[in-house]
Amino acid sequence: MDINEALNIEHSYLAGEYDVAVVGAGHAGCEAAHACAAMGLNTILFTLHLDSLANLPCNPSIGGTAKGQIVREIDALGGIMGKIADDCLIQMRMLNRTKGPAVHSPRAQMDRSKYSVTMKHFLENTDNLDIRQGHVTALLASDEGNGAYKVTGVMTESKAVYKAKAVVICSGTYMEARTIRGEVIMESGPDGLPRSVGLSKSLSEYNIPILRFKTGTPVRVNARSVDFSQMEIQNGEHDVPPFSFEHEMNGRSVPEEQTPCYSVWTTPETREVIFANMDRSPLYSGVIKGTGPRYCPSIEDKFVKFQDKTRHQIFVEPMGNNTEEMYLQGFSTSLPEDVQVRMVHSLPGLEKAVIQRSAYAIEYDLIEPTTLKRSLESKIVAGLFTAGQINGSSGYEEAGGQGIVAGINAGRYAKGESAIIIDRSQGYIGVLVDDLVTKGTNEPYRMMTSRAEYRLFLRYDNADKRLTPIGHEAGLISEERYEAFKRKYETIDAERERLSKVYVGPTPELEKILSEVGSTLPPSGISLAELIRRPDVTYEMLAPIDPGRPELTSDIRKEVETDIKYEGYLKLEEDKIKKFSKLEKKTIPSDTDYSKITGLRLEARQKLDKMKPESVGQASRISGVSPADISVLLVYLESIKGGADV
Amino acid sequence: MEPFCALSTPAGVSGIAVIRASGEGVSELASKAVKILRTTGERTDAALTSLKGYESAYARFLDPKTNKTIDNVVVTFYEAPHSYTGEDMLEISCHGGQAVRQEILRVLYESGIRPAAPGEFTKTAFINGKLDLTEAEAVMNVISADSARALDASNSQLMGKLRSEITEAENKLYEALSNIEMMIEFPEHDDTPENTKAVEDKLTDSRNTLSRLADSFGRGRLLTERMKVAILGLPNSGKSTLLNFLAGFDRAIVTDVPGTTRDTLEFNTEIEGIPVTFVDTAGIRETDDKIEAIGVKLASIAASEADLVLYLIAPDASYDAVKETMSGLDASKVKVLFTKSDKGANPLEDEIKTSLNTMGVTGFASVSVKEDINTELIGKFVKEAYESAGGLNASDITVLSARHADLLRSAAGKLDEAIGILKSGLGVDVCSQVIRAALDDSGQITGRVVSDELVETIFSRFCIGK
Repeated sequence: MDINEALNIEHSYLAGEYDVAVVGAGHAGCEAAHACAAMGLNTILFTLHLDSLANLPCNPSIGGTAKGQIVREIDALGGIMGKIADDCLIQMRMLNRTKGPAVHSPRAQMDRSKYSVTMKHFLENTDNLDIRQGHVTALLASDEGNGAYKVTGVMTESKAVYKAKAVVICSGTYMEARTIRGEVIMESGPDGLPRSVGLSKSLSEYNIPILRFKTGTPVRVNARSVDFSQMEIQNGEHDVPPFSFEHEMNGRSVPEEQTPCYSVWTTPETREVIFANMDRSPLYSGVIKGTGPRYCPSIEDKFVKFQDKTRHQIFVEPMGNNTEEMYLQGFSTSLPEDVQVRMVHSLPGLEKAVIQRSAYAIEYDLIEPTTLKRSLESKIVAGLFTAGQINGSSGYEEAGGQGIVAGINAGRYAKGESAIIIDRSQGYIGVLVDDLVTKGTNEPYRMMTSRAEYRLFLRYDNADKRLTPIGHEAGLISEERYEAFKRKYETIDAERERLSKVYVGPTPELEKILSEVGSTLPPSGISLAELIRRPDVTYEMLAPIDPGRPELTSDIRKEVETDIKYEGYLKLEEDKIKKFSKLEKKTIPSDTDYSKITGLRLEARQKLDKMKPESVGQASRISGVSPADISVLLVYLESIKGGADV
Repeated sequence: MEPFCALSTPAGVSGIAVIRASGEGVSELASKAVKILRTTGERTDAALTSLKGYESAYARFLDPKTNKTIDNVVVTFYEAPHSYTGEDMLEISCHGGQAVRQEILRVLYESGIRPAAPGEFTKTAFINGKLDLTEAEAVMNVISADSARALDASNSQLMGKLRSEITEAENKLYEALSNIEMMIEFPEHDDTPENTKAVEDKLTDSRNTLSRLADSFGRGRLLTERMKVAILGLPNSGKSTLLNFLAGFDRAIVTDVPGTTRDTLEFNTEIEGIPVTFVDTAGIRETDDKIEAIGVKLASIAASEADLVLYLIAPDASYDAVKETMSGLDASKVKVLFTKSDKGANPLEDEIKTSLNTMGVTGFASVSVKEDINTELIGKFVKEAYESAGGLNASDITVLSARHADLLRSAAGKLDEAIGILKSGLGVDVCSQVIRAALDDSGQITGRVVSDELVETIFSRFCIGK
């Protein structure tokens, strides 16, 4: 339906004209709306419920492996998730400290309601941004012929028509959602919130393929009914940098006082209760048709699929400082409520737990992500962008990462500028987007560090180095912050240079330092950089023999150390990135007729025709396209280049 | 473009062969292996890198690791852009033996000049503007045909065995890697396997397999040498006639006098695309004639070394003589040809068949070379023998392609490094990247893509979830 048609509907009215309309105010929508507004575009953000903005309906935490890196990347681009998280965290830890700097991952427990309120207040104070509670039921677009459309706006349930040059849809798990607890099925969004009705039908009218996924969330209990003495306690850590680079540069640290988490193991009784009631599980009876995530299985799934494991670990996490609600991580289920009660009571310390909210599974509509470009714009409807769970992902951070990409590119589309692409070598966000739009997914996609080919380079500490220049180009990084960023890396480079030039002799002092970590004394003079390259030697421990050392902040010291220690491996990775970039930069014209390229195998021809990759690099990652096909494609592109240049 | 090389003359046996290498810095990379003896400009003791464009030199090609000479060669340097590919190029003319060519290629690979991808010379030439635009289509066809041929080869039975062994080593690597990845991805889980010893064992296992396979390169006889087919039979059973037929000219002296062939005669040809050496032997028979006695002895040696024995039985041969002369042969290698079928069948044919069958002989054919009856069955026998020779025991699996050997060696080297990292206490993140690099290498043989396989392995092996 186009805008004029919408305005002809009885009682409809033109409610506003915007550059960009963002539908859905979860983690993707908030980032997208903020990015557009910060770029100076007149933006409106729609939410089904204003009191649930940036809701954390599942785990009350932000960050973790790969996810913590994404939060830093969002921040490096000029996004907001990291800043709000820093303001609302009640516990923080650095995961994987002993496993190498590439996989150090910050993770924080959030005060859930504070997070939502803080984000709402922040966005309310953002210039160029209007926030509106409203139920968007239709995407408005003009028919451009040949199966192509162009966005013109959106319409709400109350027939309010909003004109917009670009639309970003971040519908989370709300489109045509239903929640399931055993036999009890509700037409509802998460947390009993209203669901979105009609929007996915509106999208399918433009021939956008609609898929259906399933996910779930566990029980919440009251802390006063829990015996924590039977559980293992897990305290937070103070020496973790904040998520936000700006906070880090301003010397802000995470609070000393933090709230603990706990963990317990399931008992034989848990298993018995589950198996005795399996016939009532909607997952196994066939009631649930959506595809669930393998990395976040329900507890009954875990027991069924891993029969050799007799017990599973459950984490008990606080939902905030102003609530007694505790979240049972790892205990998600779609079994009926009466079974849930018995399952919870089978856990040590939770025998008398009072349940405040039941666990449930939720099914929702999403779009086929392979119909998107890497800018997250639809290949079918020009000016339509999507981000978050609607694209098949899972997780707040994954949503936020796509949100900022979709926001930046919707803004640039509205301004008539070309898209900004973050590639696989630049960030986890690039890996995430590329995987979704190139390979698609048949379950909710969770980011993992193993999905990244250039993991040594994609670290939490250098996310600014990788992405702040891009954020600056997009207009999300202030000049002041950009200058500070440049100074930081000038300092790092200078210090690396200095360390490679300062030589120390095999003095007793050095021997003492080295013997403490079991490292041998070099026979002759050695540069400080050489010493740091040894596995057991740190930058810090060399201070006594390095009097000329400048005063540096801990983030800079750490990054210098990592850069030096891993120099050889980083160099190899950079060589790989160079090769990769070459193919990424070879663009393929969108009107390429693959049936005319001789030498391509039939399968490759069909896949390429369906996917219409934007670059040779992307084409090479499509399953069914062989290296020989890529060679053929390269030759073909060379041959048409000659003609096109004339 | 990173330098690459390949044999550019056809793969069969020829007098000389030409190996080409293209890319920036090829001369530097190959310089350690090429000791120039005299250039066309009459310089002696010149370095390879000193050759000017189009200049050639007579040189010793050696393995820098052992300093052993592989062959005396002529090298020609082509300076970019005046070469076929438009890049710096070397052309090495060597002797045509299979072993020499593969050794030279191996040394080049080890010097950092990687094996060329299908059609890569032509593709590079095209991209550097050395070929006309209208040739684009031809180039694309070359690439796809080349890769189809490579695919055919990789689907052969022999390759299947090799691949399954590599795949098994890979599976261990994926398990090791998924152990590491589990520690990384789900650190908060207490049941995450933090057992680096198990990881190390798996890495060592795989490393050993891969390097053993890499070392087997060169021991694969059938493709690196030739398949040997011995032609045996009682005197005057038509051996030399058959050989002449296969050779297309009079190679052996053919008379009606039994015992005319006094020595073994060898002849190289290709049957069904398989390089074969046929050996014609003196008739097997107890003899008093001295020269013939030597020939007879050679015949039995040839038969024991052969991959296939074609045993010829003339229409007038007696059952006892056949039985007696067959007794020393490995029946599984023997195929029987009832020759001269144009002159009528051997009256005992059925009886002989039944008897030999109980001895383990399975292939029989009645042929007439003169009338060209059933001669195509000879090709069929050769092909079957070739394929069954590929069905060696697992311990006999050999790597037949220098490119595969190169990839396996590279992967094994990386695993050594990974084990070192694990022991040194440097982060498992680096260790994991090095294992992935090793899998990238082996994946070029097995076609497995690391990122996809890894995620699958993690999900199938571990119960995870937040």
